[in-house]
Amino acid sequence: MISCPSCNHKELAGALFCSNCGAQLVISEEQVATSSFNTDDIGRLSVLVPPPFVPPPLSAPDSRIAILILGSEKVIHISGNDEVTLGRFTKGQTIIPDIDLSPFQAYEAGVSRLHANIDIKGSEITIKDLGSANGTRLNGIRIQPHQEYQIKHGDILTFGRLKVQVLIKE
Amino acid sequence: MTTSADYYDRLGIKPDASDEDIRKAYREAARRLHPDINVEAGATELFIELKEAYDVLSDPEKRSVYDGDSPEIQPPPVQTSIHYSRKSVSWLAEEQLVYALINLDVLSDQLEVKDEATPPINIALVLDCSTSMQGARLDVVKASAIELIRELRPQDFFSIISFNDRADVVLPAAYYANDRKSESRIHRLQAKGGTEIFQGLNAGMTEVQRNLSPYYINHIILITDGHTYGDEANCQELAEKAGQREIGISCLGIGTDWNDIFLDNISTSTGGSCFYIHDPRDINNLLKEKFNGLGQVYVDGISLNLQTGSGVLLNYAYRLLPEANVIPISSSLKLGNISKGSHLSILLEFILSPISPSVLKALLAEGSFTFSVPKLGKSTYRIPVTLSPATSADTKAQPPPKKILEAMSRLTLYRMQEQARVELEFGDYENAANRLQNMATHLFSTGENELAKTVLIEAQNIQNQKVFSKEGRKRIKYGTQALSSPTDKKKVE
Repeated sequence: MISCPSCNHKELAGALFCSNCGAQLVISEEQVATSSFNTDDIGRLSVLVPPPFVPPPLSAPDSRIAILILGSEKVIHISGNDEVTLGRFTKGQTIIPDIDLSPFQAYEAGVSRLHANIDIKGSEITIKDLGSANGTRLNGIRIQPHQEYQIKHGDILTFGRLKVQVLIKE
Repeated sequence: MTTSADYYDRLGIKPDASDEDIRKAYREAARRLHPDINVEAGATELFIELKEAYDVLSDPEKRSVYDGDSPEIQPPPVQTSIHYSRKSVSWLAEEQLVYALINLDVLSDQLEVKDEATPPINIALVLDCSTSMQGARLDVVKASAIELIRELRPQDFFSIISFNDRADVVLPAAYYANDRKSESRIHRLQAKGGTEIFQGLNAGMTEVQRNLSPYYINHIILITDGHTYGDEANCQELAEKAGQREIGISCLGIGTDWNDIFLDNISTSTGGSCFYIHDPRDINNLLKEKFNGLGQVYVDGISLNLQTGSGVLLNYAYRLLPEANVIPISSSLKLGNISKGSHLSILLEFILSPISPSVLKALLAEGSFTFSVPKLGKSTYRIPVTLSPATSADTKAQPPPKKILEAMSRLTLYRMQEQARVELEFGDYENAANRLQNMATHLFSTGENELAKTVLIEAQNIQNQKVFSKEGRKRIKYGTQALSSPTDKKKVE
């Protein structure tokens, strides 16, 4: 990890710009060419050197993940550090999905009653298809049922034909 | 060969088709043409031709003999180049980011005379004629459509579809060069009803498919000013189908009431782009520019098919040239087309898991570019791409190549507004407003005062009213998107 010199935001090693404030985090070739100090000195600036072995950030607080129902622009927040099932609620159903997609034409789109679940384990968020009738796609690629796939911000999940976008807060 | 059409053409497939593709194409065509069900004159002959083609192509041995007889395929004059954000990737016990800038250029000086002429276009113009288009918007659209017809070349296919709750084919796909009669049909268009984009797109797709050919530039241009209702998923499905068939879709959104995320998705799934039109008077220029551009296309249907290395994640993909926009991440990145003298330039962001010193080269991804050259015919060309920078113990910051730094400095602004939008969705108003203020500072420092002011106004809106105005949101998104392209956008005319 490296920290931004102007706002202290943490970025992965190798980042060129701060995603928070937009500040440049590396020197450019031109700056190297025109300055007289040697580049070994630059290496000592803590900002520019990614220190090896930094512990990973602690697991994040509640509700940092949400899904955007594409087409309706409706956002559903998912809270807790837990497993959340998505599906479609119908009368007389014994197991009710945590997130009911039926307001979004889930039936027409071929969403199963228990279609998939999203599992939040610390920083890792995964999707698992629960053996649904019409399957789940991750960015257009069909995933195997009962197998976990890591998802990240901006990913598109398709349940049957219902598309949602994953939103994850940093 | 005894007949004119070659075996691949008869089955409607490409020379690199897999055995499975061949079988599928045959079954599909046989169902249509089988003499038992098709009594139309000539159908039997067609079926015999089909059978002949299938017999050869389905047998690997016969197929390779047949392929050997085909004229040799000359590699097209294109060249790729790759730059990385670091000369060497560090041995690091934590995750790191690596950027790759990939260019695909047409070497114009190597083009032969026969390549100079541009391929015919096959374009469907899909016009929203719902009530909201009434007045200046529809007037400008009509006038522009008529101008486009007047500029058509004799070899160009063109069609116009108007839609509201349903679609009407105003001009079916045909040649319209010097056809003044068609103009009156455009004059008669009237605005009424709602907006169902799928109706329009579907009819547009039908018209383009009538003359679908690898020798043409096949494209749909959608002009709309409103939200579509309930058919987004159908539209997306159609767009993906269009992408597979190398039919590009470009979208022009007028005013503030259309769904930019939706139209962006539709167009980028095909390698096309979406444009924001603030003032209806800009429609004419933009449409002409788009049309002329398509008429000049040399390389079409470009995809970059990449398989990432183990422990590597392709986190973000962005096209800088010829048109700037985010590329939806999939195993096959759809990149659209390039004209002679223009370039394709994309920036990829990879996240690498920790790298130990035993690794000499970091495999980010490998795969290939595939594309077609309509002027040279139906072949699909393939250029292998391997993204594999060296590794070293050097963990110091290395100055990245100027090109990457410049591209990233512009792209950072675009990504900041994306991030602000996400924060807003989560109700994180303070961070969203702060981020926009930071953006404005950068924009002022680079002389983009107009855009900077818009950003500041929105930052205030968010602080006071907790909303992003529809207009500001689009202006900022498409403003920073336009800035992210390396060449300054100087409008034609």
